[in-house]
Amino acid sequence: MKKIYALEERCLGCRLCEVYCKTAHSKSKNIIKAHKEEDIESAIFIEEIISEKQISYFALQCRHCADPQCVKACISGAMYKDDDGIVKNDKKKCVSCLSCILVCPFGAIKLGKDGKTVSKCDLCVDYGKSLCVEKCPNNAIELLEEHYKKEI
Amino acid sequence: MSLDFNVPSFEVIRNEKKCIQCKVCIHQCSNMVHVYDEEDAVVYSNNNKCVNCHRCVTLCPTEALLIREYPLEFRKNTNWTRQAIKEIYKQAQSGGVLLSSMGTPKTFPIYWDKLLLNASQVTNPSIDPLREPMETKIFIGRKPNKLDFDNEGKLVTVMPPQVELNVPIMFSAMSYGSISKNAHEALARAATELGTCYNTGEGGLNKAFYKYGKNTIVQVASGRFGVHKEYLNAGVAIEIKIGQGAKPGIGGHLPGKKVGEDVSATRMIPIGSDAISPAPHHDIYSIEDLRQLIFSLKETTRYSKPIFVKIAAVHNAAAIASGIARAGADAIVIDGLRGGTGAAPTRIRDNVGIPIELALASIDQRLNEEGIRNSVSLIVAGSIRNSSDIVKAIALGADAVYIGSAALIALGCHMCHSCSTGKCNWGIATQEPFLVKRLNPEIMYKRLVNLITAWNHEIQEMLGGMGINAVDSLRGNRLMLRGIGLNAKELQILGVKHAGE
Amino acid sequence: MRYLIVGNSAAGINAASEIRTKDSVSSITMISKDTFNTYGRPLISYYLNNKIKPEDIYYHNKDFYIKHDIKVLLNSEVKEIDIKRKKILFCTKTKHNNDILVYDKLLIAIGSNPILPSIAGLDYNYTNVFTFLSYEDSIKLKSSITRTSKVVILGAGLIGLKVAEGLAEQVKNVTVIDLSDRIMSSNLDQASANIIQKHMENHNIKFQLKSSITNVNNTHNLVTEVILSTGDIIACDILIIAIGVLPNLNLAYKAGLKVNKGIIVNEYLQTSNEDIYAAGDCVESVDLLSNKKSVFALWTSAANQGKIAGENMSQGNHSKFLSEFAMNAISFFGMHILSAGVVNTNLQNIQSVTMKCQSNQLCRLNILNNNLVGFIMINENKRAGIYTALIRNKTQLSSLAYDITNHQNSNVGFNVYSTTERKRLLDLANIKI
Repeated sequence: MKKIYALEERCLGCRLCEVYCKTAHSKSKNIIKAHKEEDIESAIFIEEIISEKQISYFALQCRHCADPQCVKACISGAMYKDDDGIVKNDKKKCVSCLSCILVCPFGAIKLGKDGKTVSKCDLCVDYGKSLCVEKCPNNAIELLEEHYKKEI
Repeated sequence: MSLDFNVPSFEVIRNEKKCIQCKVCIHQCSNMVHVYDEEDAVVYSNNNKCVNCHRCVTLCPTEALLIREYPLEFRKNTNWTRQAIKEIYKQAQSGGVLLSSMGTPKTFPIYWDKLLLNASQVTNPSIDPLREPMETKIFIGRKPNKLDFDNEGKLVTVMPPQVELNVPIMFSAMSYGSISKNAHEALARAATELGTCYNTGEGGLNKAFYKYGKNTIVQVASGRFGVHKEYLNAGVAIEIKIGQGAKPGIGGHLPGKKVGEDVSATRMIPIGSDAISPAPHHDIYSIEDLRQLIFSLKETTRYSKPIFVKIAAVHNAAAIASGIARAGADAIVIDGLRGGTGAAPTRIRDNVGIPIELALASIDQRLNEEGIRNSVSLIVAGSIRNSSDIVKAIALGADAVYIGSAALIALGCHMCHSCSTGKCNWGIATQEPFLVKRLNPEIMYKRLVNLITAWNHEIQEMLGGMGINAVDSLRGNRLMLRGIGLNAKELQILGVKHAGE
Repeated sequence: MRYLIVGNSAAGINAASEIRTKDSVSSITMISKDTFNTYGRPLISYYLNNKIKPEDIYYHNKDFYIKHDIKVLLNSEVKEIDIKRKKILFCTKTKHNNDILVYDKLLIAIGSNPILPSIAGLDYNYTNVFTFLSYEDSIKLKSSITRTSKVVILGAGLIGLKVAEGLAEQVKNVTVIDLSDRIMSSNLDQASANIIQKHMENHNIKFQLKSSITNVNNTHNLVTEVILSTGDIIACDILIIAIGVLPNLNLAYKAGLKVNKGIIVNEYLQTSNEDIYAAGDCVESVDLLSNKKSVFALWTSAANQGKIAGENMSQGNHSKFLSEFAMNAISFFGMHILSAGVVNTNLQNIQSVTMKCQSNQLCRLNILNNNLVGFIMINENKRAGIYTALIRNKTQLSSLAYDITNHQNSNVGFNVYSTTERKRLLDLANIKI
């Protein structure tokens, strides 16, 4: 399956990916309405890496793990791995118990702004294209075929 | 601190209906123009700090930003303009020399725009470059007075070293230090893909870029930064920089804050030390001295590489060029009044030198008259903006052109004239790692390749229109040019007839 | 191959799914005394206060069982396992007669039973005495309460408090009684327990801590009052016993499988009989932090074990379940509590760091010898998953790029790891363990 890979050496920390993630996951799909009228948590987040020499950035989102902890932790069956290998959260079933947040080793799941569901990267499959990838001004986010490692 | 009298140059206008407070503008502006007010949940802009680089405008996802000239009016006065007054405020405050970046904004005549090209009609056919061969390849270097062949028709004359270029366009000297490593990488990779050359500038050559040697011209300037035997042999030609169009007669100064670990190693100077290039080469006080340097460089490279000499276009350019040709140079680079720079004293940039078109015409004329035009190639630089400028330059006698500003614009430069601050938001004229990152060589070299490829197509179209099928055949062919709105003296210097003649 | 899975909760259903992904032809049967298809067991309290619709309690929709060809026998209690003949004896509630099923591989995933203490005057057949472990319990309780109900809950653990939350807005009063000096004593330290207790008290829940029920008064086979060790008498028309659970060991014990605190399994979750595996709350596993054997009643752990057992049953033993540690995500009246590992800060050598938070938040990290061993977070979840991973991987805190105990770094997430470690962990995500 294809996954989103963030290239740390290219990330500018501009956070446009966050803006477009919110847009892609909004009801209106309109960038201004998505921000002004809806309150959505982005499923990709820029993290700062501050070292002695410089500040760099890193865009993090769900890794769609081969063996996802969040799916096993989910008490309601809302979190699941679909047939394409994409880990999704069924908002209708989610009770926001935060079990998934407790076990995600990447910290890639966030409590939604409404507090009723959690939000995470779904590769924008419903939107049709991964908007963060398309809109990154520096090609720092790429949708690449997973380099499958040998199973241990 | 007392009042500095200065008013902002630009005004940032934010459409609040469109602003989504995503803070992209805040994260992107290295001048800290935009500030988020937590209390009011509004983004404010400090107009005073804005240099109008368009970074925020370009990245704003909702097109909520607009920058315009600050609308404050000064009382109308053609003599005491806003600019003149502001400069006095600034100097009265700082006590320092005014510094500027990029080419002069003054309204000197642009002769490219006063020259018109010819096209074939009826009496000779034009050529369609899409259907017929059209040569844009050129060779830079000394050409022999005559060619000798043996009985079988094979060339027996030993040719002096030449640089082969697929297009008559090279990237001009911009040092690593004045521009970023990523910018250099983009230029180097583009030159490699295009089959042309880029120029190291006077900052030496980073080890990482030796692999692009076949498309590199290494420069030797008055500061001699990063010059050593390996460096001199790393490229395909060596350029001695005597002068620069934007600042004839003066040296250069790279502030210590731009001299980081990598720049320091490349330039062979301590980290954080100012890199000062003296105004003259202290071993060149005459044409004879120049000849010595040319031949030492030829010795070092075993006569395998052409030596370029770069001068600023100044009043006696023709006589100087003649001297340079006779001193043994293989190519002369002439940099015109409107040429760009990372930083130059404003008064020098705006008042010293002559336009490249006039210098080129007179140098080509003079070398022809002296019968030594074939001993050097002429490369012109300083304000080449598009392919028709190039075609006109070639018709005026140039072998090739250097482009600097145009290349940087392809890399994202928005001509804000703030290179000297070192905070270039486009990652070009900066050494700040977080800014340099913004110029992704992978994306940017392709843009350069696109630009030159497009220009080359246009050059072919214009050549074809004139019924010419090779760049070489246009060189110095001033019959292909006509002046428009020029006086008799200008026409005489340019060596062209007026339109209609 | 015939796979038989006894029990249909987290472990059972995950085992069934996993077997099906590995083996598309064999028959898979799940058998359970439950009346319902697999449901999210922790959701029974959400059902109690109408936070979810009845149809949303199910872990999978009905199509799942058809699509994956998993046969489910509900209302059927397994009475006996005949390990020699590899068959089971079961009894279906509706039919009242015993039936037999044969298996090639069997999974025992029957979870635990509530602990029912003997209390003077209390008969567990009284219709106003409840436990709270199953959807049926929840349905029964919900239909029994009225606006004026006076509810007494024995046990201030996770279950007791979730019931209390579920009932608080629907009944007149709720009193929670616990022997311990604080609520959720196995999940929280004193400070955080206090915060939550106060929060629950603000929502109309009364607490009687450091006390127990000595006896109950009853009339007409209904509890009417409970009498506490403190001497207090509390009027009661609904009594809920929630002092904990014990693994359901009878079946395994009778079959001759080795049992201790829970069913004894090896690292492949195989019992002392090679064709029988066990997973979930009825199994004894190693506590990662204390290295002692213990029984975890954790959804995550059960799901994980189910998956591993399923894989080993269908593919031969190659996937290991090594160790587990306690962790919980729970919320009361909108207050989220995340905890994991060692929460008791009074233990020797534990360095407890309280991070700077907003007034309604708490974040406390417990560190032992350069390792994170536990944490409690209230109304805060930043980095929770990363903390859990640090505990699980026993990551040396000094190897991190950031000091997690430094308040200034509180915005750093996954980047607490060094660049190389980050790359390694990101690559690991692609690997199936």
